[in-house]
Amino acid sequence: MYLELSFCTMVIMEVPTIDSASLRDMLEGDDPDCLVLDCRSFFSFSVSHISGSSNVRFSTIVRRRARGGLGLEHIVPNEDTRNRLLSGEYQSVVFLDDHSLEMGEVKKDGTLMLAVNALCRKQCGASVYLLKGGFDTFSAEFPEKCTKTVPPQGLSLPLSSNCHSNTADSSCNTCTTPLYDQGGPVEILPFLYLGSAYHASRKDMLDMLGITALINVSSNCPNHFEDHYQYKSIPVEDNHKANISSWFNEAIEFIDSVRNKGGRVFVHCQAGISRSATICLAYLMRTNRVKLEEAFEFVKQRRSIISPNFSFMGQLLQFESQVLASSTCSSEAGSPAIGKNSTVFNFPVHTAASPLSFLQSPITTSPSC
Amino acid sequence: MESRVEFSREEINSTVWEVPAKYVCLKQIGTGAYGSVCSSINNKTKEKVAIKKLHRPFQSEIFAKRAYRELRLLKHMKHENVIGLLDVFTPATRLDEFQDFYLVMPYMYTDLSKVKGLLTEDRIQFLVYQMLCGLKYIHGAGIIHRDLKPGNLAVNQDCELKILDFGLARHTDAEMTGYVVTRWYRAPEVILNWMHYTQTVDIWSVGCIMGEMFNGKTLFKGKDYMDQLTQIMKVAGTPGPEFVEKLESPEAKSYVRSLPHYPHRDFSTLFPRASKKAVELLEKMLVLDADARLTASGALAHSYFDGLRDPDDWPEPTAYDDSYDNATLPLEEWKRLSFKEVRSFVPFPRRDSKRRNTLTMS
Repeated sequence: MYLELSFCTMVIMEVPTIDSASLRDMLEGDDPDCLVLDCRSFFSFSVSHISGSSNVRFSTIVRRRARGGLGLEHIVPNEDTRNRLLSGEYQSVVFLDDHSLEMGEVKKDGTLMLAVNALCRKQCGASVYLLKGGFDTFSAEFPEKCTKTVPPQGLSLPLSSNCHSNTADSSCNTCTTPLYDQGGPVEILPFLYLGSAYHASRKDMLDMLGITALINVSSNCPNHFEDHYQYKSIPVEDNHKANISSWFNEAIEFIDSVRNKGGRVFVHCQAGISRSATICLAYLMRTNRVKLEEAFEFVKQRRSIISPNFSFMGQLLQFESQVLASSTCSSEAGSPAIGKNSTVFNFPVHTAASPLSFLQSPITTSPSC
Repeated sequence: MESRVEFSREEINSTVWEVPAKYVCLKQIGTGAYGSVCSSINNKTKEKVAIKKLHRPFQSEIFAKRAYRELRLLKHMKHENVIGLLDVFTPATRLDEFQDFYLVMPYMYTDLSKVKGLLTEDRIQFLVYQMLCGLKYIHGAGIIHRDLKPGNLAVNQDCELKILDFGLARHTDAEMTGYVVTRWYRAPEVILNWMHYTQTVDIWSVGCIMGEMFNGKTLFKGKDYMDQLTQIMKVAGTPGPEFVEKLESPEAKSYVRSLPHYPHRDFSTLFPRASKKAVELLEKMLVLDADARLTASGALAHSYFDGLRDPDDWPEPTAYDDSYDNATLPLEEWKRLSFKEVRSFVPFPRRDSKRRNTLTMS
């Protein structure tokens, strides 16, 4: 015990510091004889690090395998770099953390201390230094020697050891709530809304929008408020064997009956992506006599994550041919390109949205024949 | 009988939380259709944890069954690369007052979707290795994750990884009732066949995530199912007739046949930052035909992991007993089974003795 403590003390006293300018000088040239070992966290290293440096971390997996005898292979994972170190190609090894000014500031059980001790046990001949002021100081003085930080996307914040816990918690908030449950029901038409099971469980949201009825396109989402809203259940699964088109007529009649009474319908399934979107698409196609492509783009502009499964898309295409064929004045009627028995489907192609003026009108009516 | 643990009660965002007194500083961090999640500090161990409260788990047979299944799955997972339970509790002491239960898990400081910057290859290698170790365990228990994505992979400062979100994971052959949402990491056979897939759907997801870590952007960023498939085939190439014949959906068959011909992309130009062995592994993971794709064990045997592989990382899993998963039982029976599971919880002994909960910042 006494000898071990003495050894640690000796190491602390014997590791000199090096300043940022000196390190920058050592890194000049195509083949520097200096190895930089970055002991900061994996997150910080990924955001930005000194070009050419290696990240040192002792994970529990590594620590367990080493069984106390942390070796060089744990400090320098890259085999080529490790071989160069062992063969004496490096004259210097520089350790750094975020901002320590001297070895006395380094945590006794931290990564940097463990790494320095492991390297000193190896006696590879290179001089060992601590970078004074750490990465923070070096990157401030010589940003051109550091990798560029990738700009954060959207509202996500860069992570570092200095990140406030509140920020981290806020960050976790967005990842814990799935995208399809965020926001609220979206208006497809003034009397028709689309969303998820979570939205269907929020009476405050439903009341705020003036919802009077719900279509529950699932077999396992509950009808939460049967005393307050009118419900229609369409118990289909989101798989390619479900015959959702057999429910189209009933769903359309239900929506129209609620609409005729001045009410509003909220259509949902579990995630508001496939089944409920399919019902809304069928309604738009039937009542406005538009093709699937147009209806799809219209809904997607309002709830971008919609994505009916392949079988539902096929059933909607078949429904499209029925709808357009039943319109005696439709220009598509009788078109040989759309046959009832056609086995080649033309799925929607995503182009710039065409103006759909009739769908924008506050009171949607069928085009007159 | 152990004396009753002291509980404290507070309302957070109109949800009542009744938890053992050792859990302090509750703060809501998420909410969804089935529950709410708070971060908290375990005052005894000083660990930061995440506590999940299910919304009215016994309001219907369907909800009760789902709650039971999630509890069973989380209790079953005992591998360091897979999320498991630290604790589970209910304020009720008797079955007749049992209305809620709470799941306690390690606090996930962050996930892979939030790691900024480009990762070095040794980090990518280590992360993929851990994903595959976790998957080998999960698949060995007879479970498929089915929704692997960067957001479901917790990572900490030491580059340690845990697979999350078993709310949707379920037994290999069982009928699917859950909803898999993430599209960009979904295997082509899931998009096309939906009903029939094997454990290698998760390997496709690992391939997408690995490719994304090398390139710094999503590999197949489809806008919807059709666009997703098109983007996949522009890389993996248009499949041959044997693949098309395996499809069950006539719509899917027609669609695939109607696609223009795409050649298989050269993966070494697609992933310029990846080493030769990494490219080789990616090619074997991102195979259109699920039957030809690597398994988790097969991937771990690849020479890419020669310097990293250690059989100690692969504890043999216990097969998950799914005898109740597909049962139709009355609500009270689900409730009784869940109560029994809550009471019988035994903590998973930690393998890491030096540092508590390494998924929190030190």
